[in-house]
Amino acid sequence: MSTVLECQGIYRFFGGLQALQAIDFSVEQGDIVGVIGPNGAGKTTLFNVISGAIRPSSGRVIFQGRRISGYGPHRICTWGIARTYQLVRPFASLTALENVLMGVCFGRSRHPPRKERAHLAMAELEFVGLGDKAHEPAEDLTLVQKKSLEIARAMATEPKILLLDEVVSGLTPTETATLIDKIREIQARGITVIMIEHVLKVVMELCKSVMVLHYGLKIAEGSPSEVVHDPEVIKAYLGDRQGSEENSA
Amino acid sequence: MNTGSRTVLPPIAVLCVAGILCALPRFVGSYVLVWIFLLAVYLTLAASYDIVGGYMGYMNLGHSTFFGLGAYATAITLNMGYPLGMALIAGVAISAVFAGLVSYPLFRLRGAYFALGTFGLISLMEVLSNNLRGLTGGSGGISTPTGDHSLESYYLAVITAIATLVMSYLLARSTFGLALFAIREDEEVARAFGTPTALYKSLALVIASIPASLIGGIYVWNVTYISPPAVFGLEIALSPVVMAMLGGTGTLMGPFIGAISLTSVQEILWTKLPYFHLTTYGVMMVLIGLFMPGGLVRSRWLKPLIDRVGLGEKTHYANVS
Repeated sequence: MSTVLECQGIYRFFGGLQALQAIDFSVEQGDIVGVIGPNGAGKTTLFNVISGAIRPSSGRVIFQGRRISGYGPHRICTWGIARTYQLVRPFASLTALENVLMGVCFGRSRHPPRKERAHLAMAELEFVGLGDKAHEPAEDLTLVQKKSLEIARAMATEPKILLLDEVVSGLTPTETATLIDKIREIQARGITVIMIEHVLKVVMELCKSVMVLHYGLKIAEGSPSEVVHDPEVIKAYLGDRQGSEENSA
Repeated sequence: MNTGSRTVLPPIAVLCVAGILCALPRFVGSYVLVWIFLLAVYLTLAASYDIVGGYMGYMNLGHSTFFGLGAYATAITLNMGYPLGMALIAGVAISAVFAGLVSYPLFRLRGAYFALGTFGLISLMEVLSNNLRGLTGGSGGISTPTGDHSLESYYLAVITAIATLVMSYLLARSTFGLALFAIREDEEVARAFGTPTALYKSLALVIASIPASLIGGIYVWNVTYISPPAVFGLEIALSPVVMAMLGGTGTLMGPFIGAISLTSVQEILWTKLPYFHLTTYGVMMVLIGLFMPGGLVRSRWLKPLIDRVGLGEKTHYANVS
Protein backbone atom coordinates (compact mmCIF):
# COMPACT_ATOMS: atom_id res chain seq x y z
CA MET A 1 0.00 0.00 0.00
CA SER A 2 1.37 3.34 -0.96
CA THR A 3 0.31 6.86 -0.18
CA VAL A 4 -1.50 8.42 -3.11
CA LEU A 5 -2.52 11.77 -1.67
CA GLU A 6 -1.00 13.81 1.09
CA CYS A 7 -2.02 17.17 2.53
CA GLN A 8 0.68 18.98 4.46
CA GLY A 9 -0.26 21.86 6.75
CA ILE A 10 -3.15 23.18 4.70
CA TYR A 11 -4.46 26.57 5.77
CA ARG A 12 -7.17 28.50 3.99
CA PHE A 13 -8.51 31.87 5.05
CA PHE A 14 -11.54 33.69 3.66
CA GLY A 15 -10.89 37.19 4.94
CA GLY A 16 -10.81 36.77 8.70
CA LEU A 17 -12.49 33.37 8.61
CA GLN A 18 -10.20 30.40 9.05
CA ALA A 19 -11.87 27.81 6.88
CA LEU A 20 -9.03 25.29 7.17
CA GLN A 21 -6.27 25.22 9.76
CA ALA A 22 -3.20 23.02 9.77
CA ILE A 23 -4.83 20.11 8.00
CA ASP A 24 -2.44 17.16 7.70
CA PHE A 25 -3.58 13.83 6.38
CA SER A 26 -2.68 11.18 3.89
CA VAL A 27 -4.70 8.68 1.90
CA GLU A 28 -3.58 5.19 0.91
CA GLN A 29 -4.03 3.88 -2.59
CA GLY A 30 -7.33 2.01 -3.02
CA ASP A 31 -8.97 3.07 0.25
CA ILE A 32 -12.32 4.70 0.84
CA VAL A 33 -11.80 7.60 3.22
CA GLY A 34 -14.58 9.60 4.84
CA VAL A 35 -14.56 13.27 5.78
CA ILE A 36 -17.25 14.24 8.25
CA GLY A 37 -18.06 17.23 10.39
CA PRO A 38 -20.86 19.66 11.18
CA ASN A 39 -22.00 22.26 8.66
CA GLY A 40 -19.39 24.90 7.94
CA ALA A 41 -16.56 22.70 9.16
CA GLY A 42 -14.55 23.24 5.96
CA LYS A 43 -15.15 19.90 4.25
CA THR A 44 -16.10 21.28 0.86
CA THR A 45 -13.31 23.87 1.15
CA LEU A 46 -10.90 20.99 1.59
CA PHE A 47 -12.25 19.38 -1.60
CA ASN A 48 -11.91 22.68 -3.43
CA VAL A 49 -8.28 22.90 -2.33
CA ILE A 50 -7.49 19.32 -3.39
CA SER A 51 -9.19 19.69 -6.79
CA GLY A 52 -7.54 23.05 -7.42
CA ALA A 53 -10.73 25.13 -7.52
CA ILE A 54 -9.18 27.33 -4.81
CA ARG A 55 -5.60 27.64 -3.67
CA PRO A 56 -4.56 26.96 -0.11
CA SER A 57 -3.38 30.04 1.79
CA SER A 58 -0.43 27.92 2.81
CA GLY A 59 0.49 24.25 2.81
CA ARG A 60 0.92 21.70 0.07
CA VAL A 61 -1.11 18.98 -1.59
CA ILE A 62 1.04 16.09 -2.84
CA PHE A 63 -0.48 13.67 -5.35
CA GLN A 64 1.55 10.60 -6.31
CA GLY A 65 4.71 12.20 -4.98
CA ARG A 66 4.17 15.41 -6.90
CA ARG A 67 3.01 18.80 -5.68
CA ILE A 68 -0.33 19.77 -7.25
CA SER A 69 -1.42 22.72 -5.12
CA GLY A 70 -1.07 25.94 -7.12
CA TYR A 71 -2.03 24.35 -10.42
CA GLY A 72 -5.39 24.99 -12.11
CA PRO A 73 -8.30 22.56 -11.73
CA HIS A 74 -8.18 21.54 -15.42
CA ARG A 75 -4.60 20.30 -14.97
CA ILE A 76 -5.35 18.48 -11.74
CA CYS A 77 -8.33 16.81 -13.39
CA THR A 78 -6.24 15.46 -16.25
CA TRP A 79 -3.65 14.21 -13.76
CA GLY A 80 -6.30 12.05 -12.13
CA ILE A 81 -8.42 13.74 -9.46
CA ALA A 82 -12.12 14.03 -10.34
CA ARG A 83 -14.98 15.28 -8.21
CA THR A 84 -18.72 15.59 -7.85
CA TYR A 85 -20.57 18.55 -6.39
CA GLN A 86 -22.64 18.73 -3.24
CA LEU A 87 -25.36 20.69 -5.04
CA VAL A 88 -25.38 18.87 -8.36
CA ARG A 89 -23.96 20.83 -11.25
CA PRO A 90 -24.48 18.95 -14.52
CA PHE A 91 -24.33 20.95 -17.77
CA ALA A 92 -28.08 21.51 -17.73
CA SER A 93 -29.01 21.82 -21.40
CA LEU A 94 -26.57 19.19 -22.65
CA THR A 95 -27.68 15.58 -22.83
CA ALA A 96 -26.50 13.04 -20.29
CA LEU A 97 -24.18 11.55 -22.89
CA GLU A 98 -22.67 14.94 -23.74
CA ASN A 99 -22.10 15.60 -20.05
CA VAL A 100 -20.08 12.42 -19.76
CA LEU A 101 -18.36 13.16 -23.08
CA MET A 102 -16.94 16.31 -21.51
CA GLY A 103 -15.12 14.07 -19.07
CA VAL A 104 -13.95 11.71 -21.82
CA CYS A 105 -12.85 14.47 -24.21
CA PHE A 106 -11.12 16.83 -21.81
CA GLY A 107 -10.61 15.21 -18.43
CA ARG A 108 -8.23 12.40 -19.38
CA SER A 109 -4.47 12.56 -19.47
CA ARG A 110 -4.55 11.16 -23.02
CA HIS A 111 -7.36 12.07 -25.37
CA PRO A 112 -9.00 8.96 -26.79
CA PRO A 113 -9.58 8.83 -30.56
CA ARG A 114 -12.77 10.53 -31.63
CA LYS A 115 -14.48 7.35 -32.79
CA GLU A 116 -14.19 5.71 -29.39
CA ARG A 117 -15.35 8.66 -27.30
CA ALA A 118 -19.10 8.13 -27.51
CA HIS A 119 -18.59 4.46 -26.77
CA LEU A 120 -16.45 5.17 -23.68
CA ALA A 121 -18.97 7.73 -22.42
CA MET A 122 -21.82 5.31 -22.97
CA ALA A 123 -20.01 2.66 -20.93
CA GLU A 124 -19.77 5.03 -17.94
CA LEU A 125 -23.45 5.98 -18.28
CA GLU A 126 -24.38 2.30 -18.27
CA PHE A 127 -22.14 1.74 -15.24
CA VAL A 128 -24.27 4.17 -13.20
CA GLY A 129 -27.49 2.86 -14.75
CA LEU A 130 -28.32 5.78 -17.00
CA GLY A 131 -27.88 3.96 -20.30
CA ASP A 132 -31.47 4.62 -21.38
CA LYS A 133 -31.28 8.32 -20.49
CA ALA A 134 -28.28 9.05 -22.69
CA HIS A 135 -30.06 11.46 -25.03
CA GLU A 136 -32.11 13.30 -22.44
CA PRO A 137 -31.07 16.78 -21.34
CA ALA A 138 -29.46 16.66 -17.90
CA GLU A 139 -31.95 19.20 -16.55
CA ASP A 140 -34.80 16.72 -17.11
CA LEU A 141 -33.25 14.03 -14.89
CA THR A 142 -34.30 13.37 -11.29
CA LEU A 143 -32.00 14.21 -8.37
CA VAL A 144 -30.67 10.68 -8.02
CA GLN A 145 -30.09 10.49 -11.78
CA LYS A 146 -28.24 13.82 -11.73
CA LYS A 147 -26.05 12.53 -8.91
CA SER A 148 -25.36 9.36 -10.85
CA LEU A 149 -24.60 11.47 -13.90
CA GLU A 150 -22.04 13.44 -11.90
CA ILE A 151 -20.39 10.20 -10.85
CA ALA A 152 -20.35 9.00 -14.46
CA ARG A 153 -18.86 12.29 -15.64
CA ALA A 154 -16.16 12.06 -12.98
CA MET A 155 -15.45 8.39 -13.76
CA ALA A 156 -15.16 9.26 -17.45
CA THR A 157 -11.97 11.18 -16.70
CA GLU A 158 -10.28 7.91 -15.63
CA PRO A 159 -9.49 9.28 -12.18
CA LYS A 160 -7.09 7.79 -9.68
CA ILE A 161 -8.87 9.61 -6.88
CA LEU A 162 -12.60 10.32 -6.84
CA LEU A 163 -13.88 13.06 -4.53
CA LEU A 164 -17.54 12.53 -3.66
CA ASP A 165 -19.23 15.49 -2.00
CA GLU A 166 -22.34 14.24 -0.16
CA VAL A 167 -23.56 11.94 -2.90
CA VAL A 168 -26.19 10.14 -0.86
CA SER A 169 -27.75 13.12 0.91
CA GLY A 170 -31.38 13.57 -0.08
CA LEU A 171 -31.76 10.04 -1.42
CA THR A 172 -34.17 7.33 -0.29
CA PRO A 173 -32.79 4.24 1.54
CA THR A 174 -33.12 2.09 -1.61
CA GLU A 175 -31.30 4.64 -3.74
CA THR A 176 -28.64 4.93 -1.04
CA ALA A 177 -28.12 1.16 -1.03
CA THR A 178 -27.65 1.14 -4.82
CA LEU A 179 -25.17 3.96 -4.62
CA ILE A 180 -23.19 2.20 -1.86
CA ASP A 181 -22.81 -0.78 -4.19
CA LYS A 182 -21.64 1.54 -6.96
CA ILE A 183 -19.00 3.09 -4.72
CA ARG A 184 -17.76 -0.42 -3.83
CA GLU A 185 -17.52 -1.22 -7.53
CA ILE A 186 -15.56 2.00 -8.08
CA GLN A 187 -13.15 0.92 -5.35
CA ALA A 188 -12.88 -2.47 -7.03
CA ARG A 189 -11.73 -0.68 -10.18
CA GLY A 190 -8.70 0.43 -8.20
CA ILE A 191 -9.84 3.99 -7.59
CA THR A 192 -9.25 5.73 -4.28
CA VAL A 193 -12.41 7.39 -2.98
CA ILE A 194 -12.57 10.33 -0.58
CA MET A 195 -16.12 11.09 0.47
CA ILE A 196 -17.74 13.86 2.42
CA GLU A 197 -20.82 12.39 4.02
CA HIS A 198 -23.42 13.33 6.58
CA VAL A 199 -25.18 9.99 6.50
CA LEU A 200 -23.17 8.11 9.13
CA LYS A 201 -24.58 4.74 8.15
CA VAL A 202 -22.87 5.06 4.78
CA VAL A 203 -19.60 6.18 6.35
CA MET A 204 -19.65 3.27 8.81
CA GLU A 205 -20.36 0.82 6.04
CA LEU A 206 -17.88 1.99 3.44
CA CYS A 207 -14.99 3.89 4.92
CA LYS A 208 -11.79 2.37 6.17
CA SER A 209 -10.80 5.55 7.93
CA VAL A 210 -12.55 8.79 8.77
CA MET A 211 -11.36 12.32 9.39
CA VAL A 212 -13.50 14.72 11.41
CA LEU A 213 -13.35 18.47 10.75
CA HIS A 214 -14.76 21.12 13.06
CA TYR A 215 -14.37 24.86 12.48
CA GLY A 216 -11.57 24.15 10.02
CA LEU A 217 -9.59 21.98 12.44
CA LYS A 218 -9.03 18.25 12.23
CA ILE A 219 -10.32 17.05 15.58
CA ALA A 220 -10.18 13.29 15.09
CA GLU A 221 -9.02 10.61 12.69
CA GLY A 222 -9.27 6.84 12.74
CA SER A 223 -11.58 3.97 11.96
CA PRO A 224 -15.29 4.88 11.84
CA SER A 225 -16.15 3.08 15.07
CA GLU A 226 -13.31 4.79 16.97
CA VAL A 227 -14.26 8.19 15.66
CA VAL A 228 -17.94 8.09 16.59
CA HIS A 229 -17.04 7.33 20.19
CA ASP A 230 -14.42 10.06 20.40
CA PRO A 231 -15.52 12.59 23.07
CA GLU A 232 -14.26 15.51 20.96
CA VAL A 233 -16.40 14.40 18.05
CA ILE A 234 -19.50 13.94 20.18
CA LYS A 235 -18.90 17.40 21.60
CA ALA A 236 -18.62 18.90 18.12
CA TYR A 237 -21.89 17.36 16.98
CA LEU A 238 -24.01 17.56 20.13
CA GLY A 239 -22.35 20.30 22.21
CA ASP A 240 -20.78 19.59 25.59
CA ARG A 241 -22.75 18.44 28.57
CA GLN A 242 -22.36 21.58 30.63
CA GLY A 243 -26.08 21.85 31.27
CA SER A 244 -26.45 18.36 32.72
CA GLU A 245 -23.20 18.67 34.71
CA GLU A 246 -24.54 21.77 36.39
CA ASN A 247 -27.74 19.89 37.25
CA SER A 248 -25.88 17.02 38.84
CA ALA A 249 -23.57 19.27 40.83
CA MET B 1 -33.54 6.67 -36.11
CA ASN B 2 -33.12 8.97 -39.09
CA THR B 3 -29.41 9.56 -38.67
CA GLY B 4 -29.08 9.14 -42.42
CA SER B 5 -31.26 12.13 -43.24
CA ARG B 6 -29.44 14.13 -40.58
CA THR B 7 -26.11 13.81 -42.29
CA VAL B 8 -27.40 14.01 -45.88
CA LEU B 9 -30.04 16.74 -45.67
CA PRO B 10 -27.99 19.72 -44.44
CA PRO B 11 -25.42 19.54 -47.28
CA ILE B 12 -28.21 19.18 -49.86
CA ALA B 13 -30.04 22.17 -48.38
CA VAL B 14 -26.87 24.25 -48.46
CA LEU B 15 -26.19 23.29 -52.08
CA CYS B 16 -29.75 24.12 -53.15
CA VAL B 17 -29.70 27.53 -51.45
CA ALA B 18 -26.26 28.26 -52.89
CA GLY B 19 -27.41 27.26 -56.37
CA ILE B 20 -30.51 29.47 -56.22
CA LEU B 21 -28.52 32.42 -54.92
CA CYS B 22 -25.86 32.05 -57.61
CA ALA B 23 -28.46 31.90 -60.39
CA LEU B 24 -30.47 34.79 -58.97
CA PRO B 25 -28.61 37.72 -60.59
CA ARG B 26 -29.82 36.50 -64.01
CA PHE B 27 -33.46 36.86 -63.05
CA VAL B 28 -33.87 39.72 -60.62
CA GLY B 29 -33.09 43.40 -60.56
CA SER B 30 -30.36 45.19 -58.67
CA TYR B 31 -32.78 46.22 -55.92
CA VAL B 32 -33.21 42.62 -54.83
CA LEU B 33 -29.49 41.97 -55.18
CA VAL B 34 -28.62 44.86 -52.90
CA TRP B 35 -31.20 43.64 -50.44
CA ILE B 36 -29.71 40.13 -50.48
CA PHE B 37 -26.22 41.60 -50.16
CA LEU B 38 -27.23 43.47 -47.00
CA LEU B 39 -29.03 40.38 -45.75
CA ALA B 40 -25.83 38.36 -46.24
CA VAL B 41 -23.86 41.00 -44.32
CA TYR B 42 -26.26 40.91 -41.39
CA LEU B 43 -26.54 37.14 -41.53
CA THR B 44 -22.76 36.75 -41.36
CA LEU B 45 -22.60 39.13 -38.42
CA ALA B 46 -25.47 37.42 -36.59
CA ALA B 47 -24.13 33.90 -37.18
CA SER B 48 -20.59 34.80 -36.11
CA TYR B 49 -21.93 36.72 -33.11
CA ASP B 50 -23.75 33.58 -32.06
CA ILE B 51 -20.53 31.57 -31.67
CA VAL B 52 -19.53 33.67 -28.66
CA GLY B 53 -22.96 35.05 -27.75
CA GLY B 54 -25.03 31.90 -28.21
CA TYR B 55 -22.81 28.82 -28.13
CA MET B 56 -20.55 30.11 -25.37
CA GLY B 57 -23.13 32.31 -23.65
CA TYR B 58 -21.03 35.47 -23.48
CA MET B 59 -23.13 38.35 -24.77
CA ASN B 60 -20.72 40.26 -26.98
CA LEU B 61 -22.32 43.64 -27.69
CA GLY B 62 -19.13 44.77 -29.37
CA HIS B 63 -19.11 42.22 -32.13
CA SER B 64 -19.36 44.96 -34.78
CA THR B 65 -15.90 46.14 -33.68
CA PHE B 66 -14.50 43.39 -35.86
CA PHE B 67 -16.78 44.39 -38.73
CA GLY B 68 -15.58 47.99 -38.53
CA LEU B 69 -11.96 47.04 -38.02
CA GLY B 70 -12.08 44.72 -41.03
CA ALA B 71 -13.78 47.42 -43.09
CA TYR B 72 -11.25 50.12 -42.17
CA ALA B 73 -8.22 47.87 -42.57
CA THR B 74 -9.46 46.68 -45.97
CA ALA B 75 -10.20 50.24 -47.11
CA ILE B 76 -6.77 51.50 -46.02
CA THR B 77 -4.98 48.58 -47.69
CA LEU B 78 -7.02 49.06 -50.89
CA ASN B 79 -6.07 52.73 -50.92
CA MET B 80 -2.42 51.75 -50.64
CA GLY B 81 -2.88 50.05 -54.00
CA TYR B 82 -3.01 46.42 -52.97
CA PRO B 83 -5.47 44.05 -54.70
CA LEU B 84 -8.75 43.08 -53.04
CA GLY B 85 -7.58 39.63 -51.91
CA MET B 86 -4.60 41.07 -50.04
CA ALA B 87 -6.75 43.81 -48.55
CA LEU B 88 -9.32 41.33 -47.25
CA ILE B 89 -6.61 39.13 -45.78
CA ALA B 90 -5.08 42.17 -44.08
CA GLY B 91 -8.47 43.12 -42.64
CA VAL B 92 -9.09 39.62 -41.30
CA ALA B 93 -5.57 39.27 -39.90
CA ILE B 94 -5.62 42.61 -38.08
CA SER B 95 -9.00 41.94 -36.60
CA ALA B 96 -8.13 38.39 -35.54
CA VAL B 97 -4.98 39.63 -33.77
CA PHE B 98 -7.03 42.38 -32.17
CA ALA B 99 -9.61 39.80 -31.01
CA GLY B 100 -6.85 37.69 -29.49
CA LEU B 101 -5.41 40.69 -27.66
CA VAL B 102 -8.66 42.05 -26.23
CA SER B 103 -9.91 38.61 -25.27
CA TYR B 104 -7.42 38.47 -22.40
CA PRO B 105 -8.78 41.45 -20.42
CA LEU B 106 -12.40 41.05 -21.59
CA PHE B 107 -12.83 37.43 -20.58
CA ARG B 108 -11.91 38.27 -17.02
CA LEU B 109 -15.43 39.74 -16.99
CA ARG B 110 -18.65 37.77 -16.99
CA GLY B 111 -22.33 38.31 -17.67
CA ALA B 112 -23.48 41.91 -17.85
CA TYR B 113 -19.96 43.18 -17.15
CA PHE B 114 -18.64 41.40 -20.22
CA ALA B 115 -21.47 42.83 -22.33
CA LEU B 116 -20.70 46.34 -21.07
CA GLY B 117 -16.96 45.91 -21.55
CA THR B 118 -17.38 44.82 -25.15
CA PHE B 119 -19.89 47.60 -25.74
CA GLY B 120 -17.22 50.05 -24.59
CA LEU B 121 -14.92 48.61 -27.23
CA ILE B 122 -17.10 50.02 -30.02
CA SER B 123 -17.01 53.52 -28.55
CA LEU B 124 -13.26 53.21 -28.25
CA MET B 125 -12.96 52.24 -31.91
CA GLU B 126 -15.31 55.03 -32.96
CA VAL B 127 -13.26 57.62 -31.06
CA LEU B 128 -10.07 56.22 -32.53
CA SER B 129 -11.38 56.25 -36.09
CA ASN B 130 -12.65 59.81 -35.61
CA ASN B 131 -9.32 61.04 -34.37
CA LEU B 132 -6.61 59.11 -36.22
CA ARG B 133 -7.12 61.37 -39.21
CA GLY B 134 -3.98 60.47 -41.08
CA LEU B 135 -5.00 56.82 -41.15
CA THR B 136 -8.80 56.77 -41.18
CA GLY B 137 -9.78 60.15 -42.60
CA GLY B 138 -11.38 61.13 -39.31
CA SER B 139 -15.07 61.93 -39.09
CA GLY B 140 -15.17 62.63 -42.83
CA GLY B 141 -14.89 58.89 -43.43
CA ILE B 142 -12.77 57.04 -45.93
CA SER B 143 -13.36 56.28 -49.61
CA THR B 144 -11.96 53.37 -51.54
CA PRO B 145 -11.15 53.29 -55.27
CA THR B 146 -14.49 53.59 -57.05
CA GLY B 147 -15.99 51.12 -59.48
CA ASP B 148 -19.12 49.00 -59.78
CA HIS B 149 -18.50 45.81 -57.80
CA SER B 150 -22.10 45.08 -56.94
CA LEU B 151 -22.27 41.68 -58.67
CA GLU B 152 -18.87 40.45 -57.47
CA SER B 153 -19.52 41.66 -53.93
CA TYR B 154 -22.94 40.02 -54.04
CA TYR B 155 -21.25 36.67 -54.76
CA LEU B 156 -18.53 37.24 -52.17
CA ALA B 157 -21.02 38.21 -49.48
CA VAL B 158 -23.31 35.24 -50.22
CA ILE B 159 -20.35 32.84 -50.15
CA THR B 160 -19.12 34.34 -46.88
CA ALA B 161 -22.56 34.05 -45.32
CA ILE B 162 -22.95 30.40 -46.38
CA ALA B 163 -19.40 29.60 -45.25
CA THR B 164 -20.13 31.17 -41.86
CA LEU B 165 -23.25 29.03 -41.46
CA VAL B 166 -21.34 25.90 -42.47
CA MET B 167 -18.58 26.76 -40.01
CA SER B 168 -21.15 27.33 -37.29
CA TYR B 169 -22.74 23.95 -38.13
CA LEU B 170 -19.43 22.10 -37.98
CA LEU B 171 -18.42 23.93 -34.80
CA ALA B 172 -21.58 22.85 -32.99
CA ARG B 173 -20.73 19.23 -33.78
CA SER B 174 -17.07 19.40 -32.82
CA THR B 175 -15.35 18.71 -29.52
CA PHE B 176 -14.47 22.39 -29.36
CA GLY B 177 -18.16 23.24 -29.76
CA LEU B 178 -19.05 20.82 -26.97
CA ALA B 179 -16.61 22.67 -24.72
CA LEU B 180 -18.20 26.02 -25.65
CA PHE B 181 -21.66 24.69 -24.71
CA ALA B 182 -20.24 23.41 -21.43
CA ILE B 183 -18.69 26.81 -20.72
CA ARG B 184 -22.10 28.38 -21.30
CA GLU B 185 -23.74 26.00 -18.86
CA ASP B 186 -21.16 26.16 -16.06
CA GLU B 187 -17.73 27.54 -16.74
CA GLU B 188 -16.26 26.52 -13.40
CA VAL B 189 -17.34 22.89 -13.81
CA ALA B 190 -16.09 22.84 -17.42
CA ARG B 191 -12.70 23.94 -16.10
CA ALA B 192 -12.81 21.40 -13.29
CA PHE B 193 -13.28 18.70 -15.94
CA GLY B 194 -10.17 19.56 -17.86
CA THR B 195 -11.31 22.22 -20.35
CA PRO B 196 -8.68 24.93 -20.85
CA THR B 197 -11.41 27.56 -20.59
CA ALA B 198 -9.25 30.69 -20.94
CA LEU B 199 -7.67 29.42 -24.16
CA TYR B 200 -10.96 28.22 -25.61
CA LYS B 201 -12.74 31.49 -24.89
CA SER B 202 -10.02 33.47 -26.67
CA LEU B 203 -10.08 31.03 -29.55
CA ALA B 204 -13.87 31.35 -29.86
CA LEU B 205 -13.60 35.14 -30.04
CA VAL B 206 -10.86 34.95 -32.68
CA ILE B 207 -12.92 32.48 -34.75
CA ALA B 208 -15.99 34.72 -34.45
CA SER B 209 -14.00 37.78 -35.51
CA ILE B 210 -12.91 36.25 -38.83
CA PRO B 211 -16.25 36.20 -40.73
CA ALA B 212 -17.23 39.57 -39.23
CA SER B 213 -14.08 41.30 -40.42
CA LEU B 214 -14.19 39.57 -43.80
CA ILE B 215 -17.73 40.74 -44.45
CA GLY B 216 -16.68 44.22 -43.29
CA GLY B 217 -14.01 44.27 -45.99
CA ILE B 218 -16.47 43.07 -48.64
CA TYR B 219 -18.96 45.67 -47.48
CA VAL B 220 -16.56 48.58 -47.85
CA TRP B 221 -15.39 47.30 -51.22
CA ASN B 222 -18.98 47.41 -52.42
CA VAL B 223 -20.19 50.69 -50.94
CA THR B 224 -16.76 52.40 -51.47
CA TYR B 225 -17.30 54.81 -48.57
CA ILE B 226 -17.51 54.34 -44.81
CA SER B 227 -17.55 56.72 -41.89
CA PRO B 228 -17.11 55.97 -38.17
CA PRO B 229 -20.85 56.00 -37.36
CA ALA B 230 -21.62 53.73 -40.33
CA VAL B 231 -19.45 50.83 -39.09
CA PHE B 232 -19.14 51.53 -35.36
CA GLY B 233 -22.67 52.90 -34.91
CA LEU B 234 -25.44 51.49 -32.76
CA GLU B 235 -27.50 50.00 -35.57
CA ILE B 236 -24.77 47.75 -36.91
CA ALA B 237 -23.77 46.87 -33.33
CA LEU B 238 -27.18 45.83 -32.10
CA SER B 239 -28.76 44.36 -35.24
CA PRO B 240 -26.81 41.06 -35.17
CA VAL B 241 -27.58 40.62 -31.48
CA VAL B 242 -31.26 41.32 -32.02
CA MET B 243 -31.35 38.99 -35.04
CA ALA B 244 -29.70 36.14 -33.17
CA MET B 245 -32.06 36.61 -30.23
CA LEU B 246 -35.10 36.91 -32.43
CA GLY B 247 -34.25 33.69 -34.25
CA GLY B 248 -32.98 31.93 -31.12
CA THR B 249 -29.45 32.14 -29.73
CA GLY B 250 -27.22 29.10 -29.50
CA THR B 251 -28.77 27.41 -32.51
CA LEU B 252 -27.55 27.19 -36.07
CA MET B 253 -30.84 28.24 -37.64
CA GLY B 254 -31.54 31.01 -35.12
CA PRO B 255 -29.36 33.75 -36.64
CA PHE B 256 -30.38 32.59 -40.14
CA ILE B 257 -34.10 32.83 -39.51
CA GLY B 258 -33.66 35.94 -37.36
CA ALA B 259 -31.68 37.79 -40.01
CA ILE B 260 -34.09 36.87 -42.81
CA SER B 261 -37.23 37.73 -40.89
CA LEU B 262 -35.89 40.96 -39.45
CA THR B 263 -34.56 42.34 -42.73
CA SER B 264 -37.77 41.32 -44.54
CA VAL B 265 -39.94 42.92 -41.88
CA GLN B 266 -37.86 46.09 -41.98
CA GLU B 267 -38.13 46.17 -45.75
CA ILE B 268 -41.91 45.64 -45.78
CA LEU B 269 -42.57 48.14 -43.01
CA TRP B 270 -40.29 50.71 -44.60
CA THR B 271 -42.20 50.59 -47.85
CA LYS B 272 -45.76 50.05 -46.57
CA LEU B 273 -45.84 52.14 -43.42
CA PRO B 274 -43.43 55.01 -44.06
CA TYR B 275 -44.24 56.98 -40.92
CA PHE B 276 -44.91 54.18 -38.48
CA HIS B 277 -42.28 51.63 -39.44
CA LEU B 278 -40.09 52.15 -36.40
CA THR B 279 -43.06 52.03 -34.04
CA THR B 280 -44.37 48.85 -35.62
CA TYR B 281 -40.89 47.37 -35.54
CA GLY B 282 -40.62 48.12 -31.82
CA VAL B 283 -44.04 46.64 -31.09
CA MET B 284 -43.10 43.46 -32.96
CA MET B 285 -39.89 43.10 -30.97
CA VAL B 286 -41.77 43.46 -27.69
CA LEU B 287 -44.41 40.93 -28.77
CA ILE B 288 -41.83 38.37 -29.83
CA GLY B 289 -39.91 38.90 -26.59
CA LEU B 290 -43.12 38.34 -24.63
CA PHE B 291 -44.47 35.33 -26.48
CA MET B 292 -41.37 33.62 -27.87
CA PRO B 293 -38.60 34.26 -25.34
CA GLY B 294 -36.50 31.44 -26.81
CA GLY B 295 -36.64 32.93 -30.28
CA LEU B 296 -38.44 31.84 -33.42
CA VAL B 297 -36.65 28.48 -33.77
CA ARG B 298 -37.86 27.36 -30.34
CA SER B 299 -41.47 28.28 -31.07
CA ARG B 300 -44.10 25.56 -31.31
CA TRP B 301 -44.50 25.84 -35.08
CA LEU B 302 -40.89 25.89 -36.18
CA LYS B 303 -39.14 23.63 -33.66
CA PRO B 304 -40.44 20.23 -34.87
CA LEU B 305 -39.64 21.13 -38.46
CA ILE B 306 -36.09 22.22 -37.70
CA ASP B 307 -35.43 19.25 -35.45
CA ARG B 308 -36.60 16.90 -38.16
CA VAL B 309 -34.16 18.30 -40.70
CA GLY B 310 -31.39 17.77 -38.17
CA LEU B 311 -30.53 21.42 -37.64
CA GLY B 312 -32.03 21.74 -34.15
CA GLU B 313 -30.15 22.87 -31.11
CA LYS B 314 -28.96 19.44 -30.04
CA THR B 315 -25.33 19.12 -30.89
CA HIS B 316 -25.62 15.43 -31.88
CA TYR B 317 -21.96 15.18 -31.05
CA ALA B 318 -22.28 11.49 -30.34
CA ASN B 319 -24.28 10.73 -33.46
CA VAL B 320 -21.69 12.29 -35.72
CA SER B 321 -18.72 10.29 -34.55
